[in-house]
Formats: sequence, structure tokens, C-alpha cells
Amino acid sequence: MKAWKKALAGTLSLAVLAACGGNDNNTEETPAGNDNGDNNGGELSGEIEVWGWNVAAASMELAIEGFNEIHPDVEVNVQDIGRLDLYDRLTVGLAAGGAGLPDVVLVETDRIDNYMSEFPEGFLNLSEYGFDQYEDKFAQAKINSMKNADGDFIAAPWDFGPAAVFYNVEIFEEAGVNPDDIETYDDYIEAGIQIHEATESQLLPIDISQDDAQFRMMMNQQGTYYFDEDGNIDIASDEAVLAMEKIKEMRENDLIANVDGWDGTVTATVNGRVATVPFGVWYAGTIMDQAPEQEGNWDIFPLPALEEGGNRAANLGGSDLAVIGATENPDAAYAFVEYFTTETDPQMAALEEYGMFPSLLETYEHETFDEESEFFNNSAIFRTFAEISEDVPFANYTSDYARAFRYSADAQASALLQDAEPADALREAAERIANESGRDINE
Amino acid sequence: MNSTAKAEKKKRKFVTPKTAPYIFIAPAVILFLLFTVYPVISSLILSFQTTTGGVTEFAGLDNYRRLFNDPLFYQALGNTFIILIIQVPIMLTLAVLLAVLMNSALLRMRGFFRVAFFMPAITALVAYAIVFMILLDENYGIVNYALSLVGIDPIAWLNDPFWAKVSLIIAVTWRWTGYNMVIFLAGLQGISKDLYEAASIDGAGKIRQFFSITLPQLKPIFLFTFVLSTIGTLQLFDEPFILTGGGPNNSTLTISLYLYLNGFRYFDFNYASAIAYVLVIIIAVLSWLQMKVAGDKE
Repeated sequence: MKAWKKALAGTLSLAVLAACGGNDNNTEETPAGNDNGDNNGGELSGEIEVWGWNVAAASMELAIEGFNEIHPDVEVNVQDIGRLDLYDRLTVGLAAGGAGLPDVVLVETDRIDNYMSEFPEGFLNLSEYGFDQYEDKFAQAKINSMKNADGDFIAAPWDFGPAAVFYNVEIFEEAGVNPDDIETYDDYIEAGIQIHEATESQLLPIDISQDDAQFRMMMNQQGTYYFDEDGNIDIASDEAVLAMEKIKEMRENDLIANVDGWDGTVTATVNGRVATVPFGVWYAGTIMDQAPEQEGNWDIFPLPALEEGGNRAANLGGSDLAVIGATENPDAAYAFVEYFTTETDPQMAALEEYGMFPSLLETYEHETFDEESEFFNNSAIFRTFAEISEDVPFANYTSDYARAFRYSADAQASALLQDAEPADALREAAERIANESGRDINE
Repeated sequence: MNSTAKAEKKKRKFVTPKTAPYIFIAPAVILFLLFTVYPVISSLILSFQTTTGGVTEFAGLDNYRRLFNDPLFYQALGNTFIILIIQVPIMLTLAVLLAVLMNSALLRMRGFFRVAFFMPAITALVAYAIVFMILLDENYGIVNYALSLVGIDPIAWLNDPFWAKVSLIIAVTWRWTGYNMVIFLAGLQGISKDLYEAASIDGAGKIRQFFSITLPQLKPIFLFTFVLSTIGTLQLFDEPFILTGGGPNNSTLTISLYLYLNGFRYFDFNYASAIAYVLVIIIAVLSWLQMKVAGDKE
């Protein structure tokens, strides 16, 4: 009798321990401000685990060798986890106080705010490890998203997503359209109509009901986003409405290929169903990877402006590295993040191998940027992207990004598929966000 | 010899006929406490709290109040019920007809057909969803290709508010009809042959027999499958999550998907817990009603 009671009690208390264990080790125990980041080479040891996805994970894999030259005793273990799976596991792990998480994670720039504000203790404060010294080395638009409300670095900036229009040279030539003539979205639409008449191709792919990338780029170009700099809801602003109206105009002229998700976008790109794809720089790698036989058939031009002479620079995507607060080896984890994001070598390797575009400004001086790419019609596309990235306005993603993203896609579906007025659809989205976030709507 | 005898003696102290049952059920009880009772209570507590900036505090009924004023929740509820009202009757009718066919002595290769129809219920979810995505793709899907052969314009299966719902209904029906068919099949075999013999002596035809004997005899099975399907549909998540993501413009948003979005996309676990509890109450009330309505006549 006694023994089984003991066994039961033992198992239960173990289980209870396991259930609350996560809470114990996330907050106070991480040492604050050790030696200002100047870790002496070779002193660090142990094993750190890093989570990322596809080419970003591969880029980190590439960096291990260089990192081990400085810290030979640290074993870095990079895991390639699907992007959405990573977020699900990260969310659950953080909610459980850091249980089951690796030491370092890759997080997209637009999601960081959300994690940062919901799990303030979830990540290591990189400023306490001395990351502030690198502040000037990155584009300001990028830096602002890395900091928490107190101005401390929570994530280290890594890749950036300056956007441009990728276009299919063959289709443009067949339709007799000169990409240099496209300066505004009106020109773009006009060219689209001409292309559509001359060839079978439509102008661009959009996953209408699930992704609003085009809309976000157009807002960013105009210096706005779902939220303004103060965190007020700006999705129903004049700029945003103008952007959505242009997109609707494209739809009405049958210029949009409504595709399903990422695969649909890629398929439409490589089989010539669309003549252009306005996207972040990282799409270059995808085209090269998915359609190697189309070498020389692609090129880029900057995004059209919304009005004559308007800004043509925008950012789409980009990701960063954060250290999990519950890590058992914060020094080694920080050292890896520091090496990977602030040294030139790993950045250039990632760019050359996988087209991951660095946000570390000094890399732009590297000669690789001026190399003409055979695949891209012998243009030095990375130089163009580097120039674009200098003019990208800041986007305030905020902690309510996920909601805003969803309701924005809903508004897009409502305007494009159900024929609502863009202003009304965006107004509804703004009100939904306001209801759930308690933020004010800009009038 | 001596030592083993000792060990046996010692063992006998723990495992006596009296303690044995407890030891045997202990693993199940512990797992149940850990993975069912604890989360259920924990999420109830969560639903009365709010978290802002990592600080959790008691908020009373705020989450529930918000829920009852949330147009998206009502839309999700509406979508779920539309699917429920249309899909479950179609599926159960199909299942009964298939079961009767399968039960027929005239049919050859019955084993093969039974397995074939049951297969969808045990197919890996992701494989199934991907197959449907390929079938229903607006631009490259085989369904639209087939339609184009008979001169019908391509249908935006997953990208049109109306057709997206239809797609979900088709997918769910495909997945669960065979499962229900097997349950009906079991029910059919429980019907006494004497009834049919007596009926045919009285001159009743096959169709008459179906409506006058088979269907009434299957009533308890109907109730069972109906309650199960209702619960299943109210919890519908996989198909909208993978096929449509709840879109376009929330036309396929279900309650479970809305719960998931709030919890795992917006990190609002408190609100998600409130949704979960309201869903539980809806399911409980509906199941009770169905039992009540069907039970009374018996």
C-alpha cells in the first residue's frame, strides 16, 4: 500500500515539477552585463543550438567554421526547422518560460515586436552584452525594429529585404515594353495592359486572400505602414487607401494572377504566367534556384512610385537573431550572434551562396555588390538593392503586427474579390484592429 | 534460491490482489490528470485573466464580454454552423447508402471497397490536404481542368468566399463518409434477418424494406453518428487551416481556427481560452439537445 502511494506521489511531483520547471529559469538567472561583449577568444565553451529555416539556416551553417576559428571550444548546432513550425514552437516554448527552446533563434523583423512585448523576459537583452557598440553599423530603419521600449537591443539585425520589381526580359521584349519607362504605378499598369494584350502573361502574382505583400511595400514606400511611428493605426490613411486603389485597378484590368501561397507565386513566376514579381531581394535566390534554365532572362527595376517623382524604395521581409532568455550558455550564444551579424565574412558568404542580403552597412563596399550577374541580364543587381536599402523608410511593425497583417489581407480580399471600396474595407480593418488592440485610429 | 525467494516475498508486499488494480490504472490516471484535468483547469483560469506586456492579471469576465461583442466570433460561429447544417446530413445520407450497398450480398470485393472508403479517415492529414490543394488549385488544378473539358470556366475553389466553403464541405465529406459508413455497417449487421424475411413474405419490396425496417432500426446509430459529427464539425480546424487559412475574408474561419489564431498567432492565450470554453458549452448543449430530442421518442 505504502509503496504504490510513494510511487504515485513521486510521479506526480515529478510531473508538477516538469510543469512549473519552465517558470523558474527564465527571469532573474541570466547574468546581466558581464564583460561588455569583449569576450576573450577561446575562453567560451559548451554547445549551443540555433534554430532557423531553409537558406537562412544554411547561411548560419556556413558561418560555423569561421566562428570556431575564434571560439574553438563552442559547438554550434544549427537546426533547420520550417518557418511556421519554428514560430509555433517558439510561442509555446516562451509561454512555458523558455522550456524546450534552443539558445538562438532566427525571427523575422516584422514579428519581433510581437514576441518582445508579449514575452519581455523571453529574450536576452543584447545591450547588456554590449551590442550597442554596433548601432551605427546598420541602417537606421532596421535598427529601430530591434529594440524594446527601453531602447535596448533584443535582437541583432541580420538580413534585409530591399524590394524591387523582378521582370521577365523575354516577355517585356515580346510586348515591346521598356522597363526604364516605368516610373509610377500608372506607368506600370499601362505596361501591364500592353503586356497582357501582346502575350498571355499577366502583370504580377498576388495571393489575394492570404498575403498583402504588394500593399505593404506600397505603404512602406510612402512612409507609412499598418501603424505610424507612434503606434497609431494607419491602415486606413490616405496613403494606404491610394495603395489599395492601385492594386484594385490592377485587378480590374485583369493584371493580377491570384495565386495560392508561396508555391503558387513561384510557379506563376517560372512558367511565364506573370511578367513581373515585385518582391524583396531574397526572391532573386528563389528564381535562380527554381528556374536555372531562365538564366539571363531576368532583371530588376526599382518599384514604381505612387506619384511622379515619389519614393521608390521599400523593404519587404528580413530577419534577425535573438538569444532565448532561458539559455544556459548566454555568453557563447551571444558570441555567435555577434559574430554572425557584425562580421563581414559570414554576411558575404550568405549573400554569395544564398542571396541573403545583409543589413550591415560596411558590407556594401564589398566588390561582390558590383559584380554583374549573368542570371540577371548582366546587371549588378545587388548594387541596385544596396542603393534602394539606403532610402527605405522606417516601418513600425508593433506588437499587433500579426492581427494587422491578417485583417489587412481580409481587407484586400474584400476589395478585390468581393468588390468592396478600398477605403471601406480598410476602415473596417482599422476598426477591428482598434477593437482588439486598444490602439487609436489616425484620422 | 534463497535470494529469489526473498525477492518474491518482498514483491508480494507491493503487488497484492488488492493493490494490483490501482497499479494497473495508475498510468492512465496520471496521464489523464496531467494532460486533461490540469490543462482544462489551467485554461479556465487563463480565460479569466488578461496579459499585457508579460504581466498577467485577473480580469473577471472581460474576455467573455469581449467575445460576445466580437463580430469575427459570430462570423466564425456562423461559418461553422453553415458547414454543420449542410455537410453532416449529406455525409450521413451518403454513409447510409454506402453501408447498405456494402452490406448487399450481390456486391463483389466487399472487403476492398470497405477499406477503400474507410481509408480517408486514417490518411495523413497533410497528405490529404496537399492532394486537395492540387486538385482544387484554380490555375493548375485537375478539377478545373476536367471542368474545362466540358466547357465550364475555371472556378476559384479556394479563393472565392462561396466556393471556399463548398471546398471545405467536399473535403470534410470525403474524409469522414467512410468512417461513418463503417459504423452504419456494424449497425446493419445487428438488424435481425427475421424482420426482412417477414417483410418479404408480406410482399414488401426492397425499397419499402429500406424505409420501413432498415432506417428505423438504425435510429440509435444515426443518433450516435450525428452527435459525433456535430462535435467533430464544431471543432473543425485542419481543413480550413491548411486549405484556406480561414480566407478569403474570413469566409471559412471556424471557431477552432479563430481560437488558434488568437492563441498562437496573436499570443492572446486568455482570449483563446475564453473561446475554448464557449465552444465547450455550445458542444455540450447541442449534444444534450440531440440526445433529448432523439431519446424522447424511444
